[in-house]
Amino acid sequence: MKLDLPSSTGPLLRVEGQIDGKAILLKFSGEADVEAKPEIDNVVRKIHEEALKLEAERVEVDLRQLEFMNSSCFKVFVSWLGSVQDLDASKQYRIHLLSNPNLHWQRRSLAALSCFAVDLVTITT
Amino acid sequence: MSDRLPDALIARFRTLSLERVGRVEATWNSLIQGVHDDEAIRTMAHDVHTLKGDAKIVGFDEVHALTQKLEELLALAAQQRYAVSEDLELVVTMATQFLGMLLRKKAGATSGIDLVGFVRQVDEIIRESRTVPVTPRIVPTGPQRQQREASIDRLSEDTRQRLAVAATTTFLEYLGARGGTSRTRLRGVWDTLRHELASIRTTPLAPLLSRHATAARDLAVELGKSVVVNTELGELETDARVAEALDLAVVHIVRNALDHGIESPERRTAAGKPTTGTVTVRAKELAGAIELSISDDGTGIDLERVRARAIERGLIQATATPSKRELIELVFHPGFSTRDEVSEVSGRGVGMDAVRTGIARVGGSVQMTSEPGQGSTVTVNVPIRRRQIHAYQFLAPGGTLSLAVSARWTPTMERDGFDAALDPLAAIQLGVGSRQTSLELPHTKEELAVRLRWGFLEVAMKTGSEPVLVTGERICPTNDDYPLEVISIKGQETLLLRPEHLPGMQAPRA
Repeated sequence: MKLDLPSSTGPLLRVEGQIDGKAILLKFSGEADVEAKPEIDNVVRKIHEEALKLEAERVEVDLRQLEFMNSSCFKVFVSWLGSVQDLDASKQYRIHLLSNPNLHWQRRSLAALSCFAVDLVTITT
Repeated sequence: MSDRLPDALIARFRTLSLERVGRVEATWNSLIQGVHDDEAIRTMAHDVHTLKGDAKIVGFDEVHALTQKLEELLALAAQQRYAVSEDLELVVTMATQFLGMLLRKKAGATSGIDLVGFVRQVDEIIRESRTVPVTPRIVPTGPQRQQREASIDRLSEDTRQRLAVAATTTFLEYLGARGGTSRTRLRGVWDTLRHELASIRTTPLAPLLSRHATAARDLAVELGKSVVVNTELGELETDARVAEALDLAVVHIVRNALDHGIESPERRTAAGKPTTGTVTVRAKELAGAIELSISDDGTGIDLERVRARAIERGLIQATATPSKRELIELVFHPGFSTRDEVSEVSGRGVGMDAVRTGIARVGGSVQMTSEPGQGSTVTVNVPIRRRQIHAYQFLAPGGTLSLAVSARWTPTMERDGFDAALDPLAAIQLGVGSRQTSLELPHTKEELAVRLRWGFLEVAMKTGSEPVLVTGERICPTNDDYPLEVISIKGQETLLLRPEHLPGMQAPRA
């Protein structure tokens, strides 16, 4: 089932969401520069709310077609991990990142990101 | 170890440390956006160093270890003048986030955090970043910028224009950049060029003109006179050409006042005046112009002597009865002087003529009034170069860019002319992905065209909104024959198009 996400504010970033049973699939494509931060903020907030409502076990974030993400947008992901960590263990859900090894920005940054919550985050390339 | 310390002390450490991390993050964000403030950098280094030391004392070993890495990262970034790689930029941001997380966690509640793994990533990025060449992207701000010397920037107008064109081109590149670090860096270069242009376009008058007060006191001593020179110059700024003309005017007029106007102490005493004369240099903004006045409380112009000298030189008939104003005007006649001898200071007959000529070159005027025994006042008026521009603002097709044309064009909306109208983005060779943020104009999805008319020129242009008449500020002035200029409308940078100079957009009106 397609998930209604906050509408796009810029031409470069595209985000699609889908609910699949107890999982939420989130697909980013294009570029996420500083101007995309408000949109990513809204999307991540919405996904977190949906995950809690659904009692989701897993959120899959497909970044394979996201060519760039700047540090401001990255902070949104860090905050997201913090929010999930702060939940009671029974409400926590796992975040699975699908990465593209050909995109330079993903090589180091996603690995670094996972260090914030190794028990919650997994990465597949 | 931390458990053995009083809770209040730990709480205090957390609070202060989180404040430090917040400051570090804010400074880092400014630096990577190209804003360089030495004081903030020093504070950042101090915050990180103190945090490292405090963490060691209170036993927050993970915070201590990570702060040490952050210090290394910041040292590397400083070496690269903060023009850092994407990875380095990101890992510093993440390190501050990580510190925030560690500081907020309860003691012992750091499970799930892989600090060792993160530090490993940091080390690899440090190693890689040491081999990556970078280019500087620094915009000096704050006190550095404010320390303007009392001098005139004598860059030629041609050079200014070339800089303005380079800045405008950079802005275009920034708009067209797809994103990421290149877009951020282009933004930094545009900011740098724009600030540099602003700083060389204007010269503050106070430091420039007030230096003549000191010179005048020295000159008065040479002339055996006692003079006080007062200046009331406010915070006026003007462009370099006008500042130079005003500077020369003040030199001549103050010298004339000291030499011709202010009497010797003996004569002043005899006239019932204070032995020390006064010269006052004032500048203020008045009705779109700078009014500079130089007054002295000296002897005033000897109008009889002016008349006699004018008759002698054949400037007026012996029978003429010129008014007081006409006689004072003679002082501005080329080569006119009432002095029999040429002095070291003035009396060469070129002073007031030179002043008027110099001021006229920048579009100004000079007037003089004088009262016998009471003194003279020379008033210089120069227009303030217009920085405001009236324009029609509209969105580019697609609604991603703010555009404008001068208000001398008359816009008329055309509902059916879209296909035949010229695309402004194509005309300035910007791709459809070019974009800005925070555009306030309502964007329409309709395919609109606006017909612009100015005299015999007429052009139809695709638009994303109806044009709105606004007042903008010229932040990067280019010549009238250059097709583009960046102006600011309510703080929003906007591309001003000069359709008459855009390739393929000029068409004679039928």
